[in-house]
This record gives sequence, C-alpha cells and structure tokens, in this order.
Amino acid sequence: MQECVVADGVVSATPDERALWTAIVVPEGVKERLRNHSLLAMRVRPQVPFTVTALHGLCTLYGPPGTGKTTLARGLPAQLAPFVPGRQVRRIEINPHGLMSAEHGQSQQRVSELLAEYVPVLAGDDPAVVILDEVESMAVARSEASLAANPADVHRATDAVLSALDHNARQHPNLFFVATSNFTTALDGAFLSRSDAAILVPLPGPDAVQQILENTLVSLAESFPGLRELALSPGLAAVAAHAAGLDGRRVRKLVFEALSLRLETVLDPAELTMHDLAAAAAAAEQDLAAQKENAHAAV
Amino acid sequence: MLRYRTIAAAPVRSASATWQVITGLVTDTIATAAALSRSEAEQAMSVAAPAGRMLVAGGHLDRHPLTLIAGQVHCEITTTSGTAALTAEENLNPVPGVASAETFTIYLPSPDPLGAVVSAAVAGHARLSGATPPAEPQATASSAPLIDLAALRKEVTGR
Repeated sequence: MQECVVADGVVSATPDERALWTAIVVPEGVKERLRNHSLLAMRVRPQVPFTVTALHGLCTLYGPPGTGKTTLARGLPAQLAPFVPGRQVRRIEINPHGLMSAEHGQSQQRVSELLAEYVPVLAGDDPAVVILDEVESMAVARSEASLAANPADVHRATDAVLSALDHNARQHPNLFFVATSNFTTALDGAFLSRSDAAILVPLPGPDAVQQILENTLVSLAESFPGLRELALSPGLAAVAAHAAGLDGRRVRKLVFEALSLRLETVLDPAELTMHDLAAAAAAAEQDLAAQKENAHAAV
Repeated sequence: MLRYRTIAAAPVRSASATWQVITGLVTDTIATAAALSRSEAEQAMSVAAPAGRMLVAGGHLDRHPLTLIAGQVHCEITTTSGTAALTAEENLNPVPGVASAETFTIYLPSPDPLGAVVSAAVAGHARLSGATPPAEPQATASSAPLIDLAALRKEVTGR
C-alpha cells in the first residue's frame, strides 16, 4: 500500500505552504468554497450523524488540465491549519494509478485496503486532507465502461471506492478527501453524488492571465531585478489578451517561452521585452487555434 | 478500528490449511508491531490450532469470528465455505494499524459443542481468550473537536 501514498506529512501555515494556495489564480469563490466546505465538514461531521448531514467529507475539483486543481488541493491543509486545535493538518497524497492491478480482484482489494484501512491509520486522530489526484482512474463511470472493453476489476474498484467513502464518512470525520479530475464525464455518477461539492476550476480569463504573468515576472524579478518594470507595465494587458484560452500552467511557461526566443535573454533574463512576450503570446495563440482545429477535424 | 478478513475454507482449502492461512494473517499482522513478537503470536496460534481446526471444519468460523485485538485494531476473521468460497476475494496482507500496539489478544469463539475444546486451548497460552471480545471503542462519538471555534470566530469577526 505504501507505494500508492506519494506523500504523507504534517503541514502548518508556513509561508511556503501558503504560497501553494496564493500561486493559483482562480476566481476567489473557488478557493473560498473549497476551504469553507472542508472547514464545515470538520466542524459538523463529528457532532451530527451522517444520516442527517449526508456529508462524505469529499470535494471534487474538476476542470481543464493546468488550471491548478492539484496545487489548490495541496495548499488546502495550510488554509485549514490556523483553525484546528494543533495548528497542523496532515496531508496525504494518493496515486490512484498505483492501485489498479492487472491481477483479477486485486484492484478492488487494494482500493478498499488503502482508503478504508491504511489512510485512516496514517491520519490517526489528526485532521487530514487526503488528495486523490486524477481520480477518474479509480472511480470510472460504470455506465460508460463496457464490460467488453474494461475488465470487471474496473467496475469493482469503483464499487470499492464508494464503499470506502461511505465507511470513512461514518467512521472518520477527521478525513477530508479532495479529488481532482480533468474529465467529469469519466467519473462515476455515484462518486459525484457523494461529493459534498463539485467545484469547477476554470481556465483563467484575461484578467487572471495578466495576473499570472505579473506574478511570474515579479517572482523572477527577485533573481533578475530588471524584470520588475516589465512586470508592472500596462502593456501586459495586451499580451494577456492574446494568451486568453491558455491554462494557468501554460501562461506561466509563456514567460519562459519568451525568454527562449533570443540568446540574449537566455544569458540575461532581465533583457526580456514586451515585444518578446507579445511574440510568444502570438505563437501560443496560433498553437491553440491549430489544436482546436485539429480537435474539431477529429470529431 | 474495526477490520474484517474473510478466508476461503472448504472446498478451497482443508481445515488444516485454512487454519494455517489464518495463522499467517495473524502472525504477519502482529509482526508489524515494533513492540510485539511474531514468535509469541505463532506460539499462541499453535496452541490454539487443535481447537481452531475444529472451528473451521465445523463451519463455526463462518458464523462466529476469531477476533484479533492489537492496540486500536479489532480484526474479525471469518471463513467462508461452499460455493461462496470458490469466488471469495481474500485479503491476506497484514492488517494495518497495529504498528504501535503494545499488546494483543486472540479471541476464539466458543460455540456448542466446542466450548470445552476452546476452553482447554485458551488455557494453554496467555494471549488466547475464550471470552466475548470487548466492543470496539467508538472513536467518533467522543472525539475532540476538529475545529478551533475561537480561531474561526476571530477570523470571521476580523474581516
């Protein structure tokens, strides 16, 4: 089981941990919903029976790749830490891909053992955030998965996930699961129904793109101070307009794409100009249009 | 922490082989505890073996579990027989949660007509018991609050 737990540790509200949360630029409501749902679950579930609340202590973050779902989930414990008695929250990260086994019956058993037995032991009595990244690999939509194409194990593994969530909902109110997925249609309906909230993490709009560019440049300016002026330039809005439609990860990389356009900026990143950024944004815009065209043609 | 394990008995295994599998599960689990000894668990299961084989052969473990209590873990081990045994999915991995246990007891069920046999077995080792296992502590009912309401109130009023 240990190999399926990719990280397990205690988190407090240190600047490094808080930075995970602030680095992700999403509408503020997304972060508030996630934080408030987790606080509410830990506030109410120990006191009120499951039969009343139907709260499973599960939140699903869904949306396009690169929008910061996993980073938000990782940043959540530091957001909760100031509000728990010990000021520390355990963070447990699960790799669902590691649970699926080619051996008949093993996937179900591994899922059950990990989620219903091993994770509660790891957490003990501490408040804990358990991250199920790319959960679609273990909670496959049974209605979509044909028995001809998918081994019965896939169906059984989904059953095991649901059973484990039900078990933990009643027995372990200190556990709060955050599942992330790029494909909600691939997720089992019963899994989504167990989510206390399914929160869309959208692609960044133009303002958010500008903010991501600005944050990236400001952070880089700590090492290359000449970039500070560029970071605060009003011309960044025009670059952001061209980059609209990119995910947050690609927006960050856009700065480095721009730096790679000239050997001078590789030597000294402070030499980066608005023209470089605009060129990189235009190229990214073209790539995006081509990708959309290809996807359209494929359909 | 209440845990369950089901072991396939006849016709998949003989009573003796089934008891061996149960013994392996119990001793592997106890071996994960730093403060406990595998050999002590093996000795206990060896002393219990004559009664254990009868409990399996008579199908009693299908209905009345053998219970291993180690630290916070209450693990109920049952068997399944007949057609169900053919398709049973077993989990023979050590039961998690025993690592910090400092003591353990193996509770054997005492169904009629094996009461005397079980009593004789449990008298042979201090880690065996023929009594009804204590109820699992209800962790959630009396657990401490997870949220510091004063800190949360401060955050709300400080906005």
